[in-house]
Amino acid sequence: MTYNISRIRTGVGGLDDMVEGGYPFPSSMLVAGSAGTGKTTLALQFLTQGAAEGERGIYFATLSEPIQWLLRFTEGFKFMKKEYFGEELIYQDMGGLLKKMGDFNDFMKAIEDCITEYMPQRIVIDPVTVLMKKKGYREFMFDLSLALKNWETTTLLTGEVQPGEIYPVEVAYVVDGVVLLTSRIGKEGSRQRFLEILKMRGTKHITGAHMTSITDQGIQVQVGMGML
Amino acid sequence: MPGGQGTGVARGLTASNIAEAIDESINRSDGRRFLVSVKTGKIVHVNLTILSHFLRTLKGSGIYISIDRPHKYIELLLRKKEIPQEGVYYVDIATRRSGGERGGYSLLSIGGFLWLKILANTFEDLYIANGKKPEKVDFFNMDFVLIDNAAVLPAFNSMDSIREFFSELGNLVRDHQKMRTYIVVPKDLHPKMFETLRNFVDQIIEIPDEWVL
Repeated sequence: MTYNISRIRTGVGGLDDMVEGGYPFPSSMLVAGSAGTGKTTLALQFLTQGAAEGERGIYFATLSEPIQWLLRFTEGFKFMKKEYFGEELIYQDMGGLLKKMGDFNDFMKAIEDCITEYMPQRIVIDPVTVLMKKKGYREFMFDLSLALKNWETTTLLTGEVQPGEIYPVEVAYVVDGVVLLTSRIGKEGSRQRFLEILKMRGTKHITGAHMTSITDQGIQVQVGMGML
Repeated sequence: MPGGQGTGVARGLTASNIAEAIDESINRSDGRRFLVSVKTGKIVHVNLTILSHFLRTLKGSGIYISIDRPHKYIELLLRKKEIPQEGVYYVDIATRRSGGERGGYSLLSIGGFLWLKILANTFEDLYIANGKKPEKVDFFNMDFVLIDNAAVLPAFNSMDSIREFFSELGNLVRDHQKMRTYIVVPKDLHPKMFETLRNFVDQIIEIPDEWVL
């Protein structure tokens, strides 16, 4: 007998087709990329897809960006519906806690308090790499990844890529999947964006870097186009 | 009205009448074993609703068998929701298997590859111990057994041992008029396992996924 790994739709055009219909559920995913590659956009598409399907999501903001700024910068996207916030989508500012917390126990407790209150199916922690400065980060990432799966959620952790690295290694080794967003200057001199699945446990996935576009529908993967 | 005779499928439930479905399952005279079919992402909600109804509303007691995740998660969830836990006896298989920590409430942790057999024996021991160990478990006076999540059993057990376990469990509770057994499974996770479990229940309670966020 074999299992059907449950799938949860990504909300990103073309991406579901690359990963057998969606991210595994439950699971933890790393969305890695440098600035401007679309990490937050991809994460919001994931949450709003769930909201449209009657699932609840929590967006944990680690940089203390006020929700009004997030909404303002994303209002051009058709998938962003303000009415989702407060019911299907919960915005949780973790920045203040991060500045004053003694250790990761405080952070974990705050996350679990929020999960037990709202019982989401989808979670985003954006970005998770700001936690790397704290002592015990590696162990915490392992505990966090395990706990989030035991809470029956699929979680997207966004990670800023530092110069010289492909993805945040400390996060990548504990997660079930890694989606890499990159960009480079094309022949015509314009910047082109790409999405690549580096890891997706239990999933037959299409490899290679595929060109993406960002429209008012969010990120769209043009599977097979502009492959690197 | 969920279901009819035999293994009828109950449809059309909403968030507010999950508890009603449980009440109806309690009041049935022709069946005491239920397969609760849920969408994968809603299994925690459904477990919580069933436990809340028995423990808080009905002030009942029972056994929660944790297979897929350490019981500390449901224990924490109940605590946060201020649902009394004095009436629940945890049988935690996942914690031992994953090397996790044991919790503070009444807990029996079972490990090893043959744990299904051990689990069946444990229930038998609880029966035998009834009345002799009143401080631990009053098995005959319990209201429910809730199994979370039976769909993952084939990962650790042969189908023969799974059938044997549910057969023995059925035998144990057969003469116990009060106790109800709820096997909660995501239908889409393991369809063949779901079909196997149908043979060991009296009714399927199907929970539509739109009942609650």
